[in-house]
Amino acid sequence: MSLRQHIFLLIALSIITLLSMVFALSHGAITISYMDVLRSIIPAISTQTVDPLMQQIIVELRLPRIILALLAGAGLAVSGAILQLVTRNPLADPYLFGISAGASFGAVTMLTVLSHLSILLLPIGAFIGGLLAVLLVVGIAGRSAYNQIERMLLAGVASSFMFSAASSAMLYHSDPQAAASILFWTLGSFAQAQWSTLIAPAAVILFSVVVFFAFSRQVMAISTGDESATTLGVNVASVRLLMLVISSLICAVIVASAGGIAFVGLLIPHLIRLVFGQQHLNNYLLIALCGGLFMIYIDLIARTLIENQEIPLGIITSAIGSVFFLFILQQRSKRS
Amino acid sequence: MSDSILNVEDLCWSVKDKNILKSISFNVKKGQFVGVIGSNGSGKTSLLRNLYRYNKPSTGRILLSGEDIWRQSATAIAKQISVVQQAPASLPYLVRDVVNMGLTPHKALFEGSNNHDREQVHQALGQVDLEQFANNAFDTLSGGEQQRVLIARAIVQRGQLLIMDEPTNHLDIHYQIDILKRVKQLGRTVIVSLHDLNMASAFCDHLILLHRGEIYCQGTPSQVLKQEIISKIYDVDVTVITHPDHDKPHLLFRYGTSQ
Repeated sequence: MSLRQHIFLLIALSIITLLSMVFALSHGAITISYMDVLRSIIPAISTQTVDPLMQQIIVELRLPRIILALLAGAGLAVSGAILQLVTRNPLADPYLFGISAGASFGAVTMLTVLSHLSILLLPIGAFIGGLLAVLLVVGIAGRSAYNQIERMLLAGVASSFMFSAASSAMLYHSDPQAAASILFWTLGSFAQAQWSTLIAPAAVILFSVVVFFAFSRQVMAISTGDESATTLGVNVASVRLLMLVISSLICAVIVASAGGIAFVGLLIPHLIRLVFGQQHLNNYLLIALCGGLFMIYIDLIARTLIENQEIPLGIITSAIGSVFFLFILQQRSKRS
Repeated sequence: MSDSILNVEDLCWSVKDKNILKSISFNVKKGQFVGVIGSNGSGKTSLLRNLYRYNKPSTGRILLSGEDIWRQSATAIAKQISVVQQAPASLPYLVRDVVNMGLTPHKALFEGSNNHDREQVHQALGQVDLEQFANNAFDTLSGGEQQRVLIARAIVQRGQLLIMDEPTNHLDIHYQIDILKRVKQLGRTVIVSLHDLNMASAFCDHLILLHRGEIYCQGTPSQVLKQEIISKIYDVDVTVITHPDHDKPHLLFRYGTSQ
């Protein structure tokens, strides 16, 4: 792909994303016309006023929700791609390193121990739990490059199981209502999105993408092997740890605001490999746009598939993910 | 000393109390073509890894232009030493992307590729006669072509010292000669590990013969490739003659198949 084609692709994807946002804004429990959607967001374009209730649905409910979906999809996809590159493991994604289990543990603790404060403190508890898991993995993985990938993966699996065990134990002893709300939360939903809760994920994800761009060459070099990257002047162990910490931050902030949305960090990078080739795995804007676009439609399905009821996101992404991986498997066996 | 680009002083390297390299000392002069030879497991790759700052010596030091390589950053060393490792099994990138990676140590964070960089990549590929493959996937190339791509990456990296670990491995005789000829034409200081002793004799100015982690002997090909030394180290029956073209030693091995 030449530079010009590349820029054209990014612009085209951005336009599709904007159109998809308008489409998603218009559909839901009630359908609102595209014109009313545009008028509600940009009042200046028309003198006609929109029904205040409609406007409130668009601006206060659907728009922050769709932006959160866009951010979550973009963040999970990019951090998945980064982790797959620096661990040279196509199955790596942020959840593999125990972050989701740690976040669930934090949320469960908040719900069972401080049940009356839960709505406010649940995201904070989830975030702290996620960070705890990351610190554990980073502490075990250590600062030397020797066997670092294996240590990272095994530490991730170990902390995952440890936090899951602790959460299960607490859930088992809590009341059924708390258990049900935890289950809903671990499967992921954007229903809690508000303008005020968007700031943290937006700031973290923007900051992370900037850092990823800064280290793009180093990450690419690491993806060709530790020794090769060292001879290209890359400090492999520290760059890999930094990438793990930042990916985990993204994941923790998303889990805190939307729960555990499985499979996206794994699925989007594989989709990019399939469609554009592995060399585009460090094309973070492309990956972010694809991830965001994907998530907008997943959320739309979650809101509209069953009337007057929301389906948890994790159910949809896992279902699509499993079918997608079976498809990849079939493609591969056809080729060979 | 003054014209030495690399000084290795009493280098030892051990892993878990096992001494892999024992008190190795040698100097490399600017422009020299140095061959590292020795049987399997003699420590050739370990020595090169110490030289290009991947493994840290247990004792002793390595001076590059008079400065200890471990007192400099990995980036600073990567600007001075280019490395061609044994070809990797798979690199899922385009040929031009692989060559472009040679620029990594020269680029600041956030710094993208400009037209000058693209021109450098193009020229380097031209030097190894692979311009037409710039947009091909690295994995689709033959072993010899992949080695040439990695040499182009080293050209772009602009190190004054080029270290190569068995670049002729798995190549047919045409490519073995082709690769070493191209490297010789670059006119850089080269340290290369080789299995083929006749190839080492033909191309190298200086040979270092490793045996069980120690330097058994070093010197010009005529000083090192002697019948008594080679037959002892490699446990083979060998006759040394003079090659008619370059007047350096040429080894004839006895295979014991006929009397």
